[in-house]
Amino acid sequence: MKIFYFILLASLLNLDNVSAFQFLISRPSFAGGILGYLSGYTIEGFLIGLLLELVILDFTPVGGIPIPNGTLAALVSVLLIRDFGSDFAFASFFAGIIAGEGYSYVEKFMRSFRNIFNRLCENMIEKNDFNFGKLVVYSLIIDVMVFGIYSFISYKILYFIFLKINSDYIMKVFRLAVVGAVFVTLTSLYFKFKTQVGKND
Amino acid sequence: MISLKDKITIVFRSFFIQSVFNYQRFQNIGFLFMIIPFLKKINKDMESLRVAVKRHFEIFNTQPYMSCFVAGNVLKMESLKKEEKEITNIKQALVCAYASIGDRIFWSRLRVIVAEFTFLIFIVLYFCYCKNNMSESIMVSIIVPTIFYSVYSVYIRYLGLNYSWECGGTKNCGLDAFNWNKIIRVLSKTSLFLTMAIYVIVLFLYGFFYINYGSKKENVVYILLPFISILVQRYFRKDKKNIFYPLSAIFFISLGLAVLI
Repeated sequence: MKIFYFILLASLLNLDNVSAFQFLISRPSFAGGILGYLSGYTIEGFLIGLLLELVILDFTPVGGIPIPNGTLAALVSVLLIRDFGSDFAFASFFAGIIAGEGYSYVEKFMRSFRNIFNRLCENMIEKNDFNFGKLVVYSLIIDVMVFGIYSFISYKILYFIFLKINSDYIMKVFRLAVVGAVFVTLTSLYFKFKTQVGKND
Repeated sequence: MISLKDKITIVFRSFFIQSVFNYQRFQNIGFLFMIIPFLKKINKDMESLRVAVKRHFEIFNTQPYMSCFVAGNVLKMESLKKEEKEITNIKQALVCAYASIGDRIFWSRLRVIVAEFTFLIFIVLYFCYCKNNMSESIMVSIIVPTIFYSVYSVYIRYLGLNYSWECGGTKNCGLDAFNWNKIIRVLSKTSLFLTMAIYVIVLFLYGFFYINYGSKKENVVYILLPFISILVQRYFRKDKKNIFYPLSAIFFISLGLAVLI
């Protein structure tokens, strides 16, 4: 399956993140599992997706604050596993995190860019045109395009970086770091809920 | 009166409330898209429709799943031709209240519970039934919690619209529909319990798969790693740093540890 189809599928899943539905089909374990299945690395895609999800759960999107994008992180991870093989799964986790965090800045920019839609909407209201559906469709199309372009660029950049630093030593480092990451995320979740339960009581 | 078709339309359109999310007025266009069919129904002449649309073109920012709680109330007031000031005041009061409730229920707790169930279902299926068919257990573990969550989120939207339509025009409309504090408390305890269960399972699997193999040096490093990770997490959390700080620290520590093994 060509990269284009992976990116297109991930772009559509990503709409669920903020723009439409919010059925959690954009969460990294879901996206990672599906994309991993399609690339022949189901278990790697799913497990890396699950770990990415634990990291992203540390952020709460309250008040419109953009958080690291889990779908993009899962996509980049799966694409890199597909290129370098399953031994690369540990390194791809960190590559995914970098790409996902980078997209939160793009998302911030997009939210400012969408201010233009207010002007368009104002003009429509003045002309008694209340078909706001077309604004929704335009916005969704822009979302898909921006996600697609960003994910392709970030994947290519990370591909070349990891091609250069690929060595036994670095793979060992990533393996250790991912083990550490599992315990960091679980500890973080545990204390977060412990505090919440304490507050409620 | 609001018909079943109107309700289904509003609930369906509420899925897109954040599609034109912008920093100027947040979900205003999404909210207009959501309520416009009903506004057209109750405002037969163009001028009154334009006034109503302009009224709702202002800032709107709530939790997407709870948007129907606000929409039902607003539409009831619009259909009763209440005063503009009253509609705006009640709308803004409810938007804030539901944003806070929704964030605490869905984003802070249910989202985490879904991820935890995904892991637990996978572990149970993998070890009990489908050890040879990994793809099947993965698909079930990602799809089942997602379906439950999606159905619940649609149910809350529909229920919210119904409740708020019934009590439309009052400031605490729908806020007393459920014991929100109790729901939040139960969800916090459930999340804590599931996190603890996952922690125990991960520790067991880690000990079983990682520490039994390899050289003595390697075993020592892998035994120490969880303790180091916990200490690093606690150190950075003390200063309220986000999770990227401990993760970066762990990466740099791994650079040193990898030399040892």
